Amino acid sequence: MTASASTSRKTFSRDRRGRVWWLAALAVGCTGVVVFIVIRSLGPTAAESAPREDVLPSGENLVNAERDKAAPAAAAAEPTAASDKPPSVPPEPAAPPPRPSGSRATPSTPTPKTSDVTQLTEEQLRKEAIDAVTRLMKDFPNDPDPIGLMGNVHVGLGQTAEAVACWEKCIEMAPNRVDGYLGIAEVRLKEGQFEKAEELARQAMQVDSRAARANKILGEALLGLGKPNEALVAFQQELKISPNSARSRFLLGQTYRQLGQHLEAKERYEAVLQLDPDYTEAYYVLAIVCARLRLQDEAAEYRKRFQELKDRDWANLQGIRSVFDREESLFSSSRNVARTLTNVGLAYRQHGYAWTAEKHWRRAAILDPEDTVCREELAALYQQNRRTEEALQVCEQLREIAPKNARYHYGAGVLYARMNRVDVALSALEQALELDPDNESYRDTCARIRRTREEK
Amino acid sequence: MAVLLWLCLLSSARAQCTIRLEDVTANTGITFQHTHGGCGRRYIVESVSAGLALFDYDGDGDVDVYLLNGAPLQGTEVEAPPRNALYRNEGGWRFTDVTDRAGVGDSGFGLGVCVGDYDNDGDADLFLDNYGPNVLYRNRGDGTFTDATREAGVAGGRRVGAGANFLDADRDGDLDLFVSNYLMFTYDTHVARTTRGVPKYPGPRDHAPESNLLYRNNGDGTFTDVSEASGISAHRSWGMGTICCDPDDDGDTDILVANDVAANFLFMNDGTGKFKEVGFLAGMAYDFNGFEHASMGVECGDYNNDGRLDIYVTSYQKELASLYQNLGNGTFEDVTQMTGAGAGTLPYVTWGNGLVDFDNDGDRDIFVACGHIQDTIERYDDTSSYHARNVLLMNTGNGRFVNVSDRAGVGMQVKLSSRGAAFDDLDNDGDVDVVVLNSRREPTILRNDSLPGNHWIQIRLRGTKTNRDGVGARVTVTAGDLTQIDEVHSGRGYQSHYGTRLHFGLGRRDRVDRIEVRWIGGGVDRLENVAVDRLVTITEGTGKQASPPSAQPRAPGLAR
Repeated sequence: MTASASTSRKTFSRDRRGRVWWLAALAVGCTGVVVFIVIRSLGPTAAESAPREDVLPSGENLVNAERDKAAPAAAAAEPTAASDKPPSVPPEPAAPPPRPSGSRATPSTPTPKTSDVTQLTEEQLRKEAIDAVTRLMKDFPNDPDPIGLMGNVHVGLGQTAEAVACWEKCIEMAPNRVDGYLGIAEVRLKEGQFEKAEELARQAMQVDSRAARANKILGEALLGLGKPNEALVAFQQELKISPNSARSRFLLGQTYRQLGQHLEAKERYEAVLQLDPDYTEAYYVLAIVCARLRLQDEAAEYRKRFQELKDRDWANLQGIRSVFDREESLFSSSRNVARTLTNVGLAYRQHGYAWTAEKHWRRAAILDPEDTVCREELAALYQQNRRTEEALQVCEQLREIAPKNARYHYGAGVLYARMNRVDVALSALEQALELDPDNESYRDTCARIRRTREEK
Repeated sequence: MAVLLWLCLLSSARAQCTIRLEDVTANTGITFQHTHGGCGRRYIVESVSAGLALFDYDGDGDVDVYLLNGAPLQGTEVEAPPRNALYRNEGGWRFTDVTDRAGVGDSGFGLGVCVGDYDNDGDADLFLDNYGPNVLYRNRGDGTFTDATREAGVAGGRRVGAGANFLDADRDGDLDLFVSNYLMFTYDTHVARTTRGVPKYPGPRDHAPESNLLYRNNGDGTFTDVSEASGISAHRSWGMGTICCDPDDDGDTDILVANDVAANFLFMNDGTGKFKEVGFLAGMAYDFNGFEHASMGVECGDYNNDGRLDIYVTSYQKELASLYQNLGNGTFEDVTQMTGAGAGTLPYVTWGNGLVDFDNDGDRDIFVACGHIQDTIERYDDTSSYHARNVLLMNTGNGRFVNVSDRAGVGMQVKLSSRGAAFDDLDNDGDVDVVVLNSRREPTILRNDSLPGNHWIQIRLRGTKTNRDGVGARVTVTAGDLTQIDEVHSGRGYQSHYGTRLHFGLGRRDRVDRIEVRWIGGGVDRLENVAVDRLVTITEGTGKQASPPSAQPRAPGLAR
């Protein structure tokens, strides 16, 4: 063998080895891609599904789920940011075993018991809300949202001066946000400073003419100023924006009543009861208006129902609080804290911290067994992350809390369908249709799933 | 030029507030200090006292002042037991403590008071609605009183009292007695309350409600408890201020009770002293939105001069003091927002109140005494305060009220925790002055220095067949285009008494065309063509004036 042949052979050998390695790498890579595709098609694994820990701008990590569950002692012992260790990823709830296709999922995430909440003192609840918002403010110091939230917390603490200061700062940071104007307007309304409340509501509407609550606050201020004709316009406008607001509809009825238009008032009050059959004061005003219209039998019926609801309302407070503490009851506090945590979660999500948002919403759901907002957010998050079983469990909670909300039944139906639990899916969708028979989207989905079942 | 014009407008706008109330407390000689009787345990009765009475106890033509005091509660030690105090009006804004001499220094826990000539002997007797046994002081007519409680049979047990009223419920010519009770309290049922860890007084619903009492006057110095027979005791609630009047104008006296954190009561008289509770149907049980208020004091007066008695009820923080307009068919409508009659009251707890024509312009203004129950309120709620300035709302004459508290003189700047308020012409100068009882402090005496120029007339009634003070009688005064009505009441506002002598402002009208008195029981007297700026005494059955020289007030502006 000549040198050149030898060289050539060596070169060929080297080239061949290179090609082999390259081909091997290619094969491995392709295999990996194939495996990945196969795995993804099977759905996310528990590990992949586990939300990742967020590292917040402040460098802090949140209280982990273990501490959330052991609330009182652990909350009291919460370490400071400097000493905070990264929390371990909490164990995901084990996926429940497959259920027969005809049965609904049992809502179990989390199943809050009233007794869990009542073991917390009001002081602990308040601290939880304050800590969450304070942390949010620290993480996003240039975001007016957390400052506005802190304003709400101050109102809950009876610190209206501090609340107003927060909202004034919001306005300073973001003059085009309505929250600041409306926050201060509501404080002035409660103080009886109706002129100032009117002025602020109008400022908010200059920024956003369709701002929710602005027209309602304006209307209440105008009523307080003895200007029912102007208040009428404001409430009517508010109802165009929020047509399902029982409170706004009630106030519209009151305005008609102030103007002596009892028939119009009666119509509005009756509409309130369609939205909220337990709106106690609506029964009172209906009794009064019916008496004025000489509809004595109706007046007597409304009066009777009013008294029943009044007795029930007081019975709920009996032995717990007097009317002076109506806004201070433990039940109210845990609900307020839940609302605060839901809003904190929304702020984190807006900044892209989904895991942190989820933690707050899960906590809110524990604190308020009837909160639909945090549950709606959780359901959406779970769906986006293909955590279908968890999404379904939350949807089932929503269906229990608000059985007349068609959207919740529809959402559950779609999720069941994704899990191939067709019969249960159809049952849920049919419930949605029953509540909202004119909804074309519900009808189409229902038809599609029926076809799918028939094809099988 | 524009600035000058603006300043002129501003000054003219400010000049439109014609009411001036000046604080003259320091120079009156009234050294009374109220005690709430507590030692830090925060029993509820400490927080709700007390009322006061303005009445002419010695018949000398001057209105005297009687102030209720608390008493030591369990756990409280005192060197000398506090007691009620009677101050004789010496004229010229000087008062003398005559408590001992008069014998009315009750040392019970005073809550409510009313005045009336229950034995029809021509002088004013005094009833005290206490926490504990009530007290009836019979006026001997010589400047002294005797305790006639036992003889009369009106001690009432150990209840927590509230407002009280003399009224002729059965129209038999003598004064019966209505006694409101607040709640069932014993030291064993006391509940300690906190908000955010801050100690506070419990609320009324921490205690069971009480029933009210009605005593029928037997005409011989004794009374019979007819609470059950009359239908009164069938309704239990947390009664506070009361007033007896005739809102349906059917010639008998009805009873209004402001209830704390519950529907207010309107007991309608069937003319024989039997009552039916109709507050809900009448539209004054709840506010405009259907909420019960923590109602405190109740007053009545015709705010819009339509010939019907309207009602004004004070209440708690975050609740507007409410004006109920009398619609004339036994029903009322809450017109607070439409009229601005609650302006300035939302942040405060409001108590004593009066529908009084302070500037004599012919329409009734509103005075509201303010002050919180919770002496720790600032620690958990920065929207209110324990001490508060009182509120004055001026009637604009066209169905609306304007808050003139900041413009009505130094007297409206006093900031204490006020409770009962009473209104009468203390210096006989033709305008109505104010006395306010402040919890745990000295009272506030406000002299009315409103701008002169408007005319007025005061009317005192002398019953002959009906009760001697004309309690329950309806008086109508017509002067030109203005017709006003009023009634003589015993016990009103927040657990207080005032106004046995009726006062009418007449504006620029310099002549009264007619005064008509409808006595409780049916008789009517009329006087025609009456001169203004004087006190007129009208005796039943004569249709004539009876004016002893000592009872004649001077023309406005002249000192005694």
